Amino acid sequence: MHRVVITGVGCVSALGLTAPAHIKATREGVSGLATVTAVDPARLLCKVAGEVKGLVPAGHLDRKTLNMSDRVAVLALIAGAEAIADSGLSFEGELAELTAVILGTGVGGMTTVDDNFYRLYGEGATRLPPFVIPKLMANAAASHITMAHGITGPAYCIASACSSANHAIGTAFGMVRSGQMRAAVTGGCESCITYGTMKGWEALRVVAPDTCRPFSRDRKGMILGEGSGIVVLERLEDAQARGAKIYGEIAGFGMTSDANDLVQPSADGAARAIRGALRDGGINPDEIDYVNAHGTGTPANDPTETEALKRALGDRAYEIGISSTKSMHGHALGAAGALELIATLGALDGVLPPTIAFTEPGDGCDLDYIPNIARDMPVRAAISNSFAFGGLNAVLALRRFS
Amino acid sequence: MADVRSKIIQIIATECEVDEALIVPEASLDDLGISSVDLVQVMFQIEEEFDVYLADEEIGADTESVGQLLDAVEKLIKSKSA
Repeated sequence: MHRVVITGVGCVSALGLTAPAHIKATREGVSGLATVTAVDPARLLCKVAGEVKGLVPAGHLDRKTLNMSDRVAVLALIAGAEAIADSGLSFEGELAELTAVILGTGVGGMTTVDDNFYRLYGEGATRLPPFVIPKLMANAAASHITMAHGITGPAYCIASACSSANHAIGTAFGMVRSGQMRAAVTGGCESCITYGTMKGWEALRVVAPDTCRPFSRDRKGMILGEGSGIVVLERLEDAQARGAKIYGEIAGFGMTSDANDLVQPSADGAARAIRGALRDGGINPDEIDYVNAHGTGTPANDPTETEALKRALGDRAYEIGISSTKSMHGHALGAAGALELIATLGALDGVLPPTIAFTEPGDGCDLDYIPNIARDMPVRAAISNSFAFGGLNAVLALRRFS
Repeated sequence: MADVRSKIIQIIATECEVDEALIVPEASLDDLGISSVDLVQVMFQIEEEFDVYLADEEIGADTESVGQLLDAVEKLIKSKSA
């Protein structure tokens, strides 16, 4: 068994186009949520989203790559390039073969599906551009990263809706910890702010018309986000041998299924995943100083997650800072766990990000949600929760590396 | 038909990022570095531009030179307008 550390970070989100920008904004309590631009807001009841703003893909990728890439792969390629450059690794010889690329995505190339199927059904087109299939396939983002960086080990995407990124990171963590792989490029990516997807979420009646207020009494639901967060994982001994910067240690991973309901959350399933992550990492609840909550801001999630934290952490749940950074970057679905892991790295570095747009606590929400203002505080260990539709729970446990 | 030929050359140049001056009938697609995937993209743009359907028998794996491509598309457009 090897200890596994994070040595590279990359991020593109509604809060910024780099990991440092994302972390800085989460600490400053900046909202990345705004009236949607990818879709005509006049056709939507819920007009707000956490879109990536100001990105110029042509400044990062050549024309041929752009031609073959859905927006979701573009975001992953940009975040991946940042993370790999940040790690200082180059994938040559044996390391190329012993590095995995494991990404999470909820739906893959949804912009490609939406735009092109509209041509057929809406506009009566008789032909589609040639690269619809390679652009929409869910594994495209992982494949693009292998090609861009010459990584020849295992590569695939994991789909578990809102837990996709945590499942991917947890899987990559397991590969490096066991010694099967020496390194992994992992995280999540999602970009599905399309007319079809927005209307689909609207129909579920879980989207807020105004903004995302996790754990607040007047919360009205989630706000859809997009983005990609990528990290580079390495064995501790390899990272130390080359003098790499270490952002933190992934200590444990817990995952469970509710086996209960496709959309209703379960405190039991979530609590078992949290306990599993702590057990896996050998972490005592008293060592936990920060929780990055799933915190979607829906009526169902927030009290259920609060109950799960109490069941898993006992009295410690009342003593620690818990925040939902989705209040700032939105719910990026298959990228959510990755954007939140990167926010959690900011917490391990001593600043707990707040839950913004917080008004007053909702019923059944009686813990410390770090309302509106970040908190300077040393953090020994933290967890990052993801609980997905389908009853799929995935929790990462991290330790500050010192 | 000169217009058709120059338009096709333009499409090849744009889609495959090849200098227009090199795209002459005698040039082989291989020598220009045009892969089968590039050719699929070129075929799509030609279909869009001229509102034709290029069947695999007309253009595809057997198409080796720019000239073959130009001739096939010209023939198709002629038969369409006839």
